[in-house]
Amino acid sequence: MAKKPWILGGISALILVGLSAGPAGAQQATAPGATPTPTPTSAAAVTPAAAEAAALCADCHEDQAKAFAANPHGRMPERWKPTTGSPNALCESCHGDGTKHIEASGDKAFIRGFHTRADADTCLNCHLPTGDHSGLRGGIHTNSETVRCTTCHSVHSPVPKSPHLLAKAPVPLCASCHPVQTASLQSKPFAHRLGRGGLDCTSCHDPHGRPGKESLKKTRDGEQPCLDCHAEKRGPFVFEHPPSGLVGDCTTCHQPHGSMNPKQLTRANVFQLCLECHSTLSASTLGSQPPSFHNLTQARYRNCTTCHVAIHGSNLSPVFFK
Amino acid sequence: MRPERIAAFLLGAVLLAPAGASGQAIPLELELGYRFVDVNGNRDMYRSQINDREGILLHSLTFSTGTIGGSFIDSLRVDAFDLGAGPAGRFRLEAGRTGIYRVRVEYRRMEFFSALPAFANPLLDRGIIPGQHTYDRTRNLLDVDVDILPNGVLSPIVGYSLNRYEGPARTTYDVGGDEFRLASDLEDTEQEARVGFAFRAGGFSGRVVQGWRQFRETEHLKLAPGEGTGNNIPPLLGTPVTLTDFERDSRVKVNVPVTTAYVVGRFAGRVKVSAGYVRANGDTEASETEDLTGNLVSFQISRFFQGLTEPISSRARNEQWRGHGRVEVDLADGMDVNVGYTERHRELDGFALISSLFIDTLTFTRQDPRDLERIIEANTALERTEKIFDASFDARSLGPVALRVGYEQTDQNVRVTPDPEEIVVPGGQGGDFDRRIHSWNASANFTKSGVTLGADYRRDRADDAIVRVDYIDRDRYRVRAGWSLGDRIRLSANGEQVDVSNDKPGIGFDGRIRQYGGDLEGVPVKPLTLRLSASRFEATSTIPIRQPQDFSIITSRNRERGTWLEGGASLNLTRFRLEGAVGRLENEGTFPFTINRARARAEFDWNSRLTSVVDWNGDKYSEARQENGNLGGYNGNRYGVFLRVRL
Repeated sequence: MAKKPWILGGISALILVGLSAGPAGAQQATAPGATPTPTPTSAAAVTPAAAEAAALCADCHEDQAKAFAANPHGRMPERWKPTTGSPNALCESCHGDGTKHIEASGDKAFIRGFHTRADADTCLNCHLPTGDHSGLRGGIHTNSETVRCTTCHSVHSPVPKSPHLLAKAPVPLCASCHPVQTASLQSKPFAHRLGRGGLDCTSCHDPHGRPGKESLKKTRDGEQPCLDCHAEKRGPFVFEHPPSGLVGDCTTCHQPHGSMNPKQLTRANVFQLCLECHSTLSASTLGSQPPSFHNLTQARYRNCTTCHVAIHGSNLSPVFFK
Repeated sequence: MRPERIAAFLLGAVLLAPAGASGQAIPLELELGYRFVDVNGNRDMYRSQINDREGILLHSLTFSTGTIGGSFIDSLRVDAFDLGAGPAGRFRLEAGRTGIYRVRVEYRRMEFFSALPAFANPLLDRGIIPGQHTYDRTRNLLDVDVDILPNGVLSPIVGYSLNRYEGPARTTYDVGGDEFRLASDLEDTEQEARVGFAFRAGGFSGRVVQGWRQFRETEHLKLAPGEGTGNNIPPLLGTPVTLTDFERDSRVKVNVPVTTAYVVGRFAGRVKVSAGYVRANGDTEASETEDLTGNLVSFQISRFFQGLTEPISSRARNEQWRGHGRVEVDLADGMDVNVGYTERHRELDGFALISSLFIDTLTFTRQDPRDLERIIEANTALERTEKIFDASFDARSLGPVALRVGYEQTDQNVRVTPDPEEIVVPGGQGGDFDRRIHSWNASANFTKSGVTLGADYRRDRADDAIVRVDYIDRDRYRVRAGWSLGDRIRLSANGEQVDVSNDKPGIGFDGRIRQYGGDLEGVPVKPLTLRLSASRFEATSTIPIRQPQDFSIITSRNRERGTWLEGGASLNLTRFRLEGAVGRLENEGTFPFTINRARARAEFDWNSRLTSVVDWNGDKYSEARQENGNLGGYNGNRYGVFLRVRL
């Protein structure tokens, strides 16, 4: 067994350093996971005009103000709330000082509107990605001019039935940039049931994850997400079939975004799928040659899984018969 | 308690909850009704692909509030989808008091059905359908997670997960010179309990969780009624092969302690350091008893036999861990450098003792009657190590342009030690394999005045292949474009092409996957929205394979070419909403078929609390162009009548 004590040791050291840094409240009275970046309305930034403008946000933005009571941002803990003394402090903590906006009769040029990447940085003052699979400033989907927080989330007018303040229902939201992948899942005959029973793209993908494989959600064991539902394929088995985790992965044989072929396979004919690996035309690859009684002119041998039923791994048969 | 009962209890509790929630208006919206189903044609294929059943359906339920006045709970959100007449439903509850605790409960139910006419069907030529592997099973999943003092300095975590998979199936067993259909009754249960803590202190945060997972499987198999003659009618060595009785019971126990830990540190808002570790060591114990009687033939022992008793005990030990570390540096506003290293390792040792007692055996010359025992002791071992180094640079704010370039190096080592019992034809059974992959990627995005353009390229070059379908060269291209004119018009399109090849001697693998398509959505007049969608899927691959019967070499060719066209419209009036869409998928190639899909939904608001909903979904699947005819064709229509209530 190859142990890596440096990893455990490193983590322990970082934990100890982190704990020794003192309580969170000492450094971040405003937000969970906040960076030292000051919030837009620190106590020093409140002007007399802003104080006079108290309650003026709700005067014009009545609908947003009413709905905000049920908004997760409206019930942040007291210790994270801005302490400026202004009744508009909650609004201003995201939209910035509204004094000039009010003085200019609501001119949008004088208020932060969350239409650019720089504005989206305000979200990250509180919502810094703290997971180990998300990037410093978010993942592949965050914090560029093309895709930023407000591309997918809407603080004031989210879709009522979707959690996380999404701007659209989850499937149409992803489809607006990824129409081919969505169409594949929704049109092909053998596919996961996207959009039904609450299954959506985020069941398997982490939209805040890093690019590439880091955008896939992992199981608690760090395995690919297929095993979260298909737990019986996890093993460990006495007799393993290498694509089930040793070489390649589920996608060696299956297409998770839907397939034209039964069982979401990558090939329509089972014997093709099997023999593409199980042909000993070169000595240097893993994959044995079936014995000669496997006569492909007979239907029984064109359907390998008729006999090799436990193809995902077996505890009872070296040749996956049971 | 079974997970579906737990979910029903929670659902009931939620529906009763508003009465006790401090008298405030709490939005509850549910859509409940009945679905009718009308299927013509191959009902099995309909169930394999769609499986909407007739019955009562809770189409959706949403209940959310952030303003409960109690001291114990200040937020509650419940969502439920498609519970009842399946085939997939979900219930989710999130509740808590801010800063004190947070509870998440999620229940999912999935119904799995498969009875395909042409898949794994050795009797297709005789016109016997469906195939021999069918199942009608359900999966129930329950996850409960409780965070105490969430986002605090130290936040304890407790969790529990349950995954139960059960139901009947038909499978086959190759024994005594023939394959026989068996009826299976399976029950798999995976449970995990976990406890740990999250921490957040200064610039550091992280999580340490210890879980204990156990998997239990029991399966009982017996000879399916009327299947004693097996698949092959002709006698073998002058003896008709039959099975008169068959019973098998198998049990599997897997215990896995799982340790996960990660820590993230931030320095001056510009540097993020993260490290994580996952360890899961599994221990599998399996046992089986099998008894059968009949007239059977074994070429392995060169005898006829009348019965077989086969107890098996086996054990597998698996050790696996994954560790990673990463440093990210914010060089300037919108410019990041990201360097990471991941290593994962897995070892497995397996052992099986297979004792086969052949009863009342005779040699092929009908002599030497006696019982014969064969004992096989099998040992397997495998080991895999993967090391991945990656580095990337992001420039996200070059005006309207964002750029990204990256490099990744993956080193794989696989060692397989097969047991001699596994080797029937020597070659390819085991060995020590090394593979190194160099990967480069680059992407660019442009956004200006409602126009978005993007392109990605990834280039992978490997020095060797471990299995034959591993690539040596792989190139992936992606492009996308989008344009929107306020809320009036939205256009999006994307395309992807992946080329893979392996020109090593004896392999000669070539493949290409190409997908492209787009959506156009427009609002010609305010209450009316129109949508058009088109996609194309193409896949081709060729690789030489060796036919077992004569060791001749042929080319395995696979070809898919599918075109999906869809159009839809929605009309949104004050009290009446109507939406509908029609689509057609036509696939050419190795497995040709067509699907016509249509759906329509109408809603009428009687008042602010009550809405009537009717919907229709129709799917017509046809395999008319396949060589076996339209074996799987069906026409499935579902009609739903629902009432939506808001309280």
